[in-house]
Amino acid sequence: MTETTKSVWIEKLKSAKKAGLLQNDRKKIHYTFDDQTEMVEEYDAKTNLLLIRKWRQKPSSGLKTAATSDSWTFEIGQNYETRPIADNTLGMIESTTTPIFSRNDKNDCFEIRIRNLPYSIDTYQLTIDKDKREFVLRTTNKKYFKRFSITDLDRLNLPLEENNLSYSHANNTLIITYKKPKAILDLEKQVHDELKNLNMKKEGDSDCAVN
Amino acid sequence: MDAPSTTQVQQVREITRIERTGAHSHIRGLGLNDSLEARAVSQGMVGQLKARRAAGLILEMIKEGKIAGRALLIAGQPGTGKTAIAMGIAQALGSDTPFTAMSGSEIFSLEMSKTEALTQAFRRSIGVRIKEEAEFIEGEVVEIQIDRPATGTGAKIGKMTLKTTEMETIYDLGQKMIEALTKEKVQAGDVIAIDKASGKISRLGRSFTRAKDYDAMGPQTKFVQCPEGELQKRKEVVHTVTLHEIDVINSRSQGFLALFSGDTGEIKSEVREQINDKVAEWREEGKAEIVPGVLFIDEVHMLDIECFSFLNRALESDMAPILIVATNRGITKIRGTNQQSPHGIPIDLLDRLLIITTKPYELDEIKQILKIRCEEEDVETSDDALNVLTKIGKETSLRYSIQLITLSSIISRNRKAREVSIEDVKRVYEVFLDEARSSDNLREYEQYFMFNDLSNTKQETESKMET
Repeated sequence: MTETTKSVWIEKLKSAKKAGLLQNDRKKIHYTFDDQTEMVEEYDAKTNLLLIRKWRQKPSSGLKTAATSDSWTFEIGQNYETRPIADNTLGMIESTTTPIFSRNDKNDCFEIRIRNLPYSIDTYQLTIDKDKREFVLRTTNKKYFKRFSITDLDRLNLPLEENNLSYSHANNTLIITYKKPKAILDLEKQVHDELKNLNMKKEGDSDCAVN
Repeated sequence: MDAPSTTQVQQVREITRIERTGAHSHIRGLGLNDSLEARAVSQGMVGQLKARRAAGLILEMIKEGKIAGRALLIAGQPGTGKTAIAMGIAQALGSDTPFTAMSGSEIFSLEMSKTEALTQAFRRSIGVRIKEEAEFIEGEVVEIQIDRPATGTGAKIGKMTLKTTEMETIYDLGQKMIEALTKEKVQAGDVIAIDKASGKISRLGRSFTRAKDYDAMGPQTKFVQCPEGELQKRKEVVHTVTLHEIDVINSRSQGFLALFSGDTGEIKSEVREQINDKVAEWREEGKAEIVPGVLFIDEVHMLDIECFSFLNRALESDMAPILIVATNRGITKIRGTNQQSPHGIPIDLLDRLLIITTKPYELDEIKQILKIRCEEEDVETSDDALNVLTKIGKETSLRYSIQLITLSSIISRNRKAREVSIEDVKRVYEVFLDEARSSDNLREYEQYFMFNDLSNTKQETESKMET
C-alpha cells in the first residue's frame, strides 16, 4: 500500500511545474501544482538536507477563504522575514514569550524544536494518538499544549511508532525526534534523483528555467 | 430647602420576545408518523388526513432537493386548512430551507412589474449555502492588562492571557483589539471566542470556576465550561443567503442597504445572469451548495393570465424552487381574460400542478381545533362552552368560532371568572354577527343602508318627478 501512496506523491511532484535556483549554498525548487498550489523546497547544496518546505495557495476565483493567503505556511523550517504590524487585521498577536514551534529535519530523523519553553524536562508528556495520526504534547503545569502531525508520514500513510519517538530539553528548547522509517528514506532518495534531472540555474542568471 | 430627591430606579426590562398569536401560530408541523401517514391530531394539525399525507410526500421531495420546478395546488372551500397545510410544510422544513409565503395580490405593485415581483419571489426561495473554514481563538480570560502611556497621548498597549484546560498563552494587544475588548466589557473569567479573520469577539459566557466570585450577578449570565485543547481552532462556519439577496447586493453600489430598506426596484437581467454564472462556478469548485426551497402563493386566482404564462416558463428552469399555490375558487374567470377555468387557473398551468383537495371539517375535528386554539390563546373553557362553540363552528364557520374564543375570554375575565362559560359565549354570539346572520340582517333592513339598490331606484324616481 505504501508503494502506491508513495507513487501518488512522486507523481504529484513529477507533474508539477518546477523551477530551480542555486543561491547561497542552497538549492531552491519552486513547484506549481495543477490546482494552483505552490510549494518551495530548499535543500542544503552540500548535504542535500531539506531545510525549508513551504506552501501557498493563491485565491483562484476571488473568493477568499481561510486557506488562501498571500503569505507562506511553513511545513519545515521557519519564516525569518518579519511581517509588518499593519498587516495584522486582528489587532492581537502572541507575545514574544510564547513558545515557537518549528520543524527542522535531519538526515536520519524528523526533528521538531519548540523554543521558549523554560520548564524542566519532566513537565512534558508526549503521546501518540493513533486514530487521528497525531502526536500530542502536554505539560503537567498546563502551560503548553500542542497537537501536531508529520505530513511526510501522513503522505505515505505509515504507522506512528513509539519506538522511534524521543525528546530532550536544553536551552529553553524542547527537541522532539522521530526516526525516519526506511520508506521515507527511499522516498527522499527518489525525489533527489528526480531533482538531479532538473536544470538548476545559478544565482545571477537572468530567468528561472521552468521545466 | 431640601428638595425631595427622587431617586429613580431604572427598571431594566429584559427584552424577551413577545409573540403575538396569529391565525396559524399553533401549527408546528404536518403531524405525520414515520411512514408518512397523518395522525388524527398532531403538531397542531387536525383532520384532512389525505391532504396532509400528500403534503408529506411533497415534503420528502423538497428535502431531497434534487427535483426542481414541481408545483402543488391545494384547493378547497374557505376555512378547510389550506394555508394551515402550507404553514405545516414550512415548519417541518425548518429554518435551513428558504420558505417564501406571499399572497397573489402582492404581485401588483406600483414599484415593479408583475414579472419582476414574481422573479424576485422565485429567487427569494432559493438559498445558497456557503461553507467557510474560519480560525477561532477560543479560551477563558485569565487576566487583561491595559496600560495608558505615561505621556498621556499615544496609543494604549495591553496584554491579555487566555487559557484552556491544557494551555495558556499571553497575547499583545493592538489598538483595535483593546477598543473591541473594552466595548464588550470583557473581564477575567469570561470565556470568549475571537474570529481571526474579522476580529469579532463573541462572549460565550463565564467560566464555571469563577462562578463563586460574585454573590449577585445579572440575569443574563451564562456559565460555560472552560474550553479544551488548543487555543486556536478551525471551525466550519456556514452562511446561508438567498439568490435574491445576492442579486440585490450586486445590483447597485451600497446594494446591501437596499436589503434593509426593501426598496430594491427592478434588477437588470445582466446582473442576474452574472450571478447565475458565479454561483454555478462556486458549485463546481465545491465552495457553495444550492438549497432549493418553497414558494407559497396564496389566493393564486388573483394572478392574471400574464403571470400564469410567466409561471409556466419559470417552472421549467433547473433553478426553480417548489411552488405551492392555494385557492378557494371554483370554476371562475381567469383574470385578464373572459375565459372560465377551474380555480381561475389556465389549463396549461393546471396540467403542471399536482392537486390536493381539502374537505370541510367534521364536528369532532372542529372541537379538536378549537381545543388547540384555546391552548394557543391561553384561554380556559368549560366543556359546555366548548361544545357550544363547536356547534357554532359547524353551523356558521370555523373562523367565526375561533374568533369568539378570545372575545369570550375577555368577558369572563371581566366578571372575574377563571374559565369561559356558556353565558360568555352566548353574550359574544349576540354581540358579534357571523356572515349568515349579517346577510339576513341586510336583507331585512337594506332600505335603511346607504348605496343599496332599493333606495337608489327610489331616489331616481323622486328626482325625475321633481323635474
